[in-house]
Amino acid sequence: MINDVGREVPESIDGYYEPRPYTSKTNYKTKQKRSYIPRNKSTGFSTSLKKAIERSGLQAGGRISFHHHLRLGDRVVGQVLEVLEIMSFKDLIICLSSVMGPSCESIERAVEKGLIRRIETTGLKTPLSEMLLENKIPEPVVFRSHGGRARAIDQGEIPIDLAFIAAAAADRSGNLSGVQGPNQFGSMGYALVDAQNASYVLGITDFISDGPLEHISIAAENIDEIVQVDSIGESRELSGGSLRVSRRPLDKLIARTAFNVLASADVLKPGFSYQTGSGGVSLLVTSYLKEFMKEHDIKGSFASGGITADLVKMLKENLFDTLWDVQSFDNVAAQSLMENPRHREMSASRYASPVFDGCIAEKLDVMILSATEIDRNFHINSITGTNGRILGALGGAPDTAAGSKLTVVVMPSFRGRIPTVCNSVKTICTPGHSIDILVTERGISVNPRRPDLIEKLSRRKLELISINDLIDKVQNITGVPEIGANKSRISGIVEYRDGSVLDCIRS
Amino acid sequence: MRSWLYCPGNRPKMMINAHLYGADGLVFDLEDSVSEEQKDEARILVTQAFIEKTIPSGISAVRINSVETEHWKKDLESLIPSGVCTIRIPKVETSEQIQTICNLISSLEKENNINEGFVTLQCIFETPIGVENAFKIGNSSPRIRSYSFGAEDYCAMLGINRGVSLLPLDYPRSRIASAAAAFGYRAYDTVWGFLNDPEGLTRDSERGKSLGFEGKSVIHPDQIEIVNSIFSPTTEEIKIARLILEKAEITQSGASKLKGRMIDRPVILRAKKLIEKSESFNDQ
Repeated sequence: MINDVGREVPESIDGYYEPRPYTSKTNYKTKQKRSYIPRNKSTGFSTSLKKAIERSGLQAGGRISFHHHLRLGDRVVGQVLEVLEIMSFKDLIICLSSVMGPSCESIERAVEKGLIRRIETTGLKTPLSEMLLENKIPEPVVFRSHGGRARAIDQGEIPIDLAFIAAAAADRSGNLSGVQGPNQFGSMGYALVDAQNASYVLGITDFISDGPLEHISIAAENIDEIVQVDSIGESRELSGGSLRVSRRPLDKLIARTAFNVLASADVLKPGFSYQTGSGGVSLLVTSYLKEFMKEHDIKGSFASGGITADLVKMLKENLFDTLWDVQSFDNVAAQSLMENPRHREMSASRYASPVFDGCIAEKLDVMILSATEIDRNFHINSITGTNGRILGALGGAPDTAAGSKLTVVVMPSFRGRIPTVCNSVKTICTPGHSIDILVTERGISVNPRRPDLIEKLSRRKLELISINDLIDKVQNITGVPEIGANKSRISGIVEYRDGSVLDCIRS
Repeated sequence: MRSWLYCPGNRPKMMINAHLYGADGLVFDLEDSVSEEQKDEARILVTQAFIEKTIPSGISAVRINSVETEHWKKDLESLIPSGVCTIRIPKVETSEQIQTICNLISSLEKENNINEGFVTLQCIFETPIGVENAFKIGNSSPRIRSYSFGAEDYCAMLGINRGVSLLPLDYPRSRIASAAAAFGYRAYDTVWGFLNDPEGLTRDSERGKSLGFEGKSVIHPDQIEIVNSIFSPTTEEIKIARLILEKAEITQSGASKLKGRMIDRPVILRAKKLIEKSESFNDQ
């Protein structure tokens, strides 16, 4: 079967449900969110992960879930998998909001031991990325966007048997918080959807407050049991993973150009809403935006997504009314969530689920994204490189690109002599119809679907180049790379936010 | 040219992107930023970039190695056939050096069927002898188009701590700018090497401008915006220049007055130049 973005989707894939090819005409309104029923019982407390897992009723082959809010500092995934291994579990599905750092090594070991048969995530890093390419994971890795994951969980498409939810603090009533305790990490947005839907929910913390929590991220009614461990991780390793503010001249040039595009597209008006990805260039755009807003006395309505210290500063300076935080990218953001009532925690569903009425992603005016590749049809790849290696993650890109009124992709036109602006991306992660503008150091290309933007930017004397001419320009410098033939075995599946198959990663 | 961005000749990735940052001119360097072991590699890379036109040759110069080294001949022998039209010569001290270089360039032009005089020169004065001889050197070749100051070697030789005070460099700057003006050459100021000190760069550039330089060399893309801004005519300067030209047109006499200031031929000439300059920057 060929889907609506021209990619082949087999009629059946070993270790995956019946594949539904992506179509550009999804009608989300026909889909219903599963009704949510609070747990009608008091939360139990324990210091034994093993006993808590026994009580959960988890069976071999079941699905367990984790969030990645502790980012590189996460030590919960490792601890849990170790216990599950001792308990001789086999063939589990691990469903994560994402995975990075030491957790990848723990999962690698669990796959090798037969504990894990399938990984479901928005992205993964080495050594799991190598395992995927070397066909060492028994079933294909399923990549879902943050909104797609939340939707799939909410709609009961991927029932979670046991959710492990790391929390910076708990209280005696069974509430969890991400912002109190010695290892505060901020928002628990990705975990809330797991807590509301899993058959059994284990909160895992290293700090239990005797008094009530001042800030509750996940209420006790969603928690079955809390396990106290020695340490959930290292909050000082929080600002790691994808987050990196660039100081490279080329990145500054791209960011400055992207900012000029925003200023010329008439979107920076009072009340506008804004989000960026966590790439270095995207974060730089925010710094230029900040100066512009101050200079022109413009106040935005909200900024959303992963929240950084820079956005917190903008909130304090009254440049935005509200921050909607699904993930705190650093300790400053985590602290602000605790202290500032205008800094709001949101669930992954509220953030980006296509079946959540009025989700934040669909209220965005401006979204800045980075990618690993973009092609003639403006399809973007954010997971693999041209050579198929896993470099990034889906994150919330497909959700925010689909929802935002203006989506701008910022990226260099080539990396390490390989063009990133190319004829056809290796893996389609976000369909081109969601992308409005590409900004590179060698030119600005507007998607022909947006003649209004072409007209507006041209009128403001911004020099535009068609995507085809840009590709030619770049290939004149780099040449056309020889792409190896796709292998037959499907080792990864990229789902669109509605659960249909957008592309397959073959290795 | 307000800004000349130096780019090491052994860094192809930087070279291919150098023109993107808004500098008016580019200098691909084979001299100080390239280690002794990489001289050959850099020469080949820069030559190839000109041949393949992956860099904009019209605004690009190449700084060759000093005439005191073993490399300068190889540099020219490689570069001239590739179509390089501007050579920046470091550590210029005497007319004889310029003549030696020009002799080789002339024979290379002939060998490669390049029009005589196609290749032009930018002289950098970086030593006390060079600074003192700047005026004498002015007549040494019709190929010369500009004079530049190189402060780092000059400071090292005099034991001056650059960055503490701008005053000690007023003398060499004035001497070079004045000698350049005497021959109608462009004058470009020295680089500011403190990358994390944009305020220092601003002060240094303003000082150079006040002493007669029309632009400055830079060593990092982050410095371009500041330098371009300082060496561009200000809105106020443009406004006054326009008033002067209007006044001169109305009066049509040798001298007149504008807001208490005498308007005569040199003032009108300067106003014309300033307007031309601002229009050329607006076109970019």
